[in-house]
Amino acid sequence: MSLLNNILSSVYRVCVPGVLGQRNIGTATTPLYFKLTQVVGGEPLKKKKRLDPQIIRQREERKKRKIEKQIRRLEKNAGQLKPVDELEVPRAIIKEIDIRKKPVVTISGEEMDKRAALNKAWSAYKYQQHRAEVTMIDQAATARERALEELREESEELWLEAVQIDPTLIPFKAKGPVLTPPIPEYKSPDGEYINVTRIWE
Amino acid sequence: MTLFTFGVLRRCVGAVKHCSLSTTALRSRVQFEPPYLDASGPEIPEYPQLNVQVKGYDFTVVEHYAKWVHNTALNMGIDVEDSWATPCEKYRIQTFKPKSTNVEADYHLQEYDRTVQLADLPSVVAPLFLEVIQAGLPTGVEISVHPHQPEHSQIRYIPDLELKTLQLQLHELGGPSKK
Repeated sequence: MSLLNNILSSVYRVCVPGVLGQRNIGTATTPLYFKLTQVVGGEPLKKKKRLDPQIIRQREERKKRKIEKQIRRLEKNAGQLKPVDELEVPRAIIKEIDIRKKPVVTISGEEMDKRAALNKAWSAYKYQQHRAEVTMIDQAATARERALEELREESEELWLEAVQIDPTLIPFKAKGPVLTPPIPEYKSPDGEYINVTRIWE
Repeated sequence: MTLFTFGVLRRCVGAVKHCSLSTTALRSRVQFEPPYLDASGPEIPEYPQLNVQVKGYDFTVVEHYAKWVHNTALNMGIDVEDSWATPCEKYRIQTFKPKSTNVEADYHLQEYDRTVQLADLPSVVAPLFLEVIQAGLPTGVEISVHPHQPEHSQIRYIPDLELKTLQLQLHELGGPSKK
C-alpha cells in the first residue's frame, strides 16, 4: 500500500481520462514551462535529390575528359631516357677538365708523313678485310637467289613453301666461343649473384 | 618507294665505306612506283620488327660488335630501323669459402647491353644474316634475336609517376571515354 502511495506521489500528474478509452500517462515531475534550448547550428537534414542519371554520366565524362587531356599533355613531353653510365663523362673528370687539357704540340713534317702513311696502310688493310667479308656474303646471297629462281621455275608450290617464315628460327640465342677448353673435373666455388642495378621508382 | 633509300644515301655520303654490291642493283631499279602495285604485301614474307640484343661484360667488345652487326645489316640491304644502348646491369658477385657462407671474394661487374632493331627482314635473308652474325661473335658476348615488344622500349625510359597516377584515376573511373 505504501509502495503504491510512493509511486502515486511521484506520478502525481496523472491525467484524468477525458475520453473513454484514451489514457495519457506522463513521467514529467515538473510542469513543462517555456524553455530555451541550445542554439543548434545545423539545419535539419536535407532530402537527397534524385539526380538525373544523365547528369551523373555527364559529370563523370567531364572528369574523364579532363584526366585524359592531362594524360595527353604529359605524354606529349617525351619521357626522359634513363642515363647510360658508360656513355656519360664522369662528373669528377668534367671538373678536372682544365688540368686534363693537353698542350698543343707541333708535329714535324716527317712525323706527319709517317702518320699519313700509317693511316693509309691501315685503311687499305681494313678495306681489304671489308671487301673480303662483303664478297663472301654476296656470293652466298647470289647463290641463294639463283637457287630460289630455279626452284620457282621448277614448281611454284615448292617455292612458296621454301619462302615461308621459319617459326623455329626466331627467337634465336647464341653465345660467343670460349678462350680455353673446359677444365676437367672443375669444382666451381659456391657464390651468389646479386643484382645491384639502380631501380627507377 | 621513298626516294631517300639507303642506296641513295650511301652514294651521297661516299661509296667506299658501305661499298656493297647491292647498290648497283638499287641504281638499276625504278625509283618511283605507284602504290597500288604493293598493296597486296611483299611476295616474300617478312619478319616483324626484330631486336638483335648484344650483351656482355666487356664494354669495348660489346660496343664494337654491335657496330659491326649494324654495318653488316646495312651492307646486306636490311632495313635497320633503330639502334640503342640500354643502361647496364650491375652485379655484385660473391664467392664463398668452401662449406660456409663466408665471403671469399667480392666482384663488381657490369653487363652492357646494345640493341640493333631490324625492320622488314625477308624470310630468305634471315638465315644468312644470323649465320654471319654468329660467325663474327667474339668471346664473352651473347646475342639474342627476338621480336620487338613494347616493354623493350619502355625499359629505356624513366617511369613518370604523375602519368601513372592519372592513368590509375582514369582506370578507377572506368576506362577511357569512347569518342
